[in-house]
Amino acid sequence: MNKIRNVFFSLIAVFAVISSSFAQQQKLSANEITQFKSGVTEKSKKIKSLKTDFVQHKHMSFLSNDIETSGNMVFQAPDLLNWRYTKPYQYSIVFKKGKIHINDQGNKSSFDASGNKMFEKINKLIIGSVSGNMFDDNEFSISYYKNKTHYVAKFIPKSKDLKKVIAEIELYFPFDTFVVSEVKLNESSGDYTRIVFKNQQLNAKVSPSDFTN
Amino acid sequence: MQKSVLRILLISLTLIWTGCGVYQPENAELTTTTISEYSNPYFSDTTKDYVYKANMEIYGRNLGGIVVIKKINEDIHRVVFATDFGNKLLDFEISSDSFKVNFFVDGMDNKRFLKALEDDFRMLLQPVYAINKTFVGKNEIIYGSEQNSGNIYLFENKEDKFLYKMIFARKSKEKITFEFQNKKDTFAEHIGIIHHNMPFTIQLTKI
Repeated sequence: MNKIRNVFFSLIAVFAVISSSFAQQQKLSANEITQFKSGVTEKSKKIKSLKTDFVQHKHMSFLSNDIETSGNMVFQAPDLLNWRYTKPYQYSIVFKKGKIHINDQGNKSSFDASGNKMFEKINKLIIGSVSGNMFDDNEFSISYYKNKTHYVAKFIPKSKDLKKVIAEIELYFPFDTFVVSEVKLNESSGDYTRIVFKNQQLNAKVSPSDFTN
Repeated sequence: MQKSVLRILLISLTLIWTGCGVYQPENAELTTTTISEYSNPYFSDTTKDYVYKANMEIYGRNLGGIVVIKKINEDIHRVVFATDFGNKLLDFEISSDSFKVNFFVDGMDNKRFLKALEDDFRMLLQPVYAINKTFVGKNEIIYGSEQNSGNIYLFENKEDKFLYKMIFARKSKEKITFEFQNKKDTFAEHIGIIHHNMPFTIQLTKI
């Protein structure tokens, strides 16, 4: 009876180790980093436009559940972006020619982001997160990992101002596509925002109306 | 000459006296107070996350985002203002006698703005009000409680017994109105906080 129990517990322990190693991230070697960056850069050069749905989970430690919102996004290279929440409320933000246009449930506002360094950084960060093209060693300390299914690039801002807002950005790239499938924005408090992209369409037709609020 | 001076003095005194009067709810009569305290039904469940889409208008500026409220324990609520993307802008904990700011971004630490938020959310989240006056109107019962050097009046609908409005008044003037649209007990569908002495309103819509 003791023998069976010991085998049983050993099996559980082994299973636990295997399960955790699936979620565990391994650091990429120098060669792997080069291959990965080259794969993403090549892919992002071919992306003229990107349409995708997304689900956003906002985790705050003191809440019982994550706050879930969802919507869609349209991107046109190099720097046009419309990020639109549709559920549970309507809110969209368009980044266009240095200006930011917001439509918050019918309340519209616009402001000039150019010349404002903080906004320019955030603008670049969002577009970079979406396109995967943000390997800027001047702006971020970057480290590279992989798990069972994804490459994971982690970006820590070097700018003090940006660090106050975001402590770390994680981008997840499936092995077979080199296109960002998930973004995780970590705050220094431990809270985070996780955005999962679904139904991605590369180089689908986009029009100017996709970037008007 | 003396009579006209006296007349002017009397009229002035009357006006001053009226101005110093205490606010009384309209179309309601004072009655016997039969309860010593009133439990605030809103934000009273520690297991619930009260998440709202927020819209603030302050001195002509429109600010939108999310407000999250959580009852931490019997006395304390935690309140977080965040952008629609989820970035925290302001994080504080509040009770009837404390206000602790955990986090703020630049621009959210204006003292007057924080004081207004502290006063508003203290009244909004207060678990229990000590009642010292009661009024009866056609469709409502109104309970009065001394608060913050003034009085807060809690309007309860006679039919469904929901708290649908609160008015904070000092002397004879309404200062702040809280309006609740509700379908369930602790989670109001919509809340409006309207200041009457400065251009500041907060609209919260349940999400």
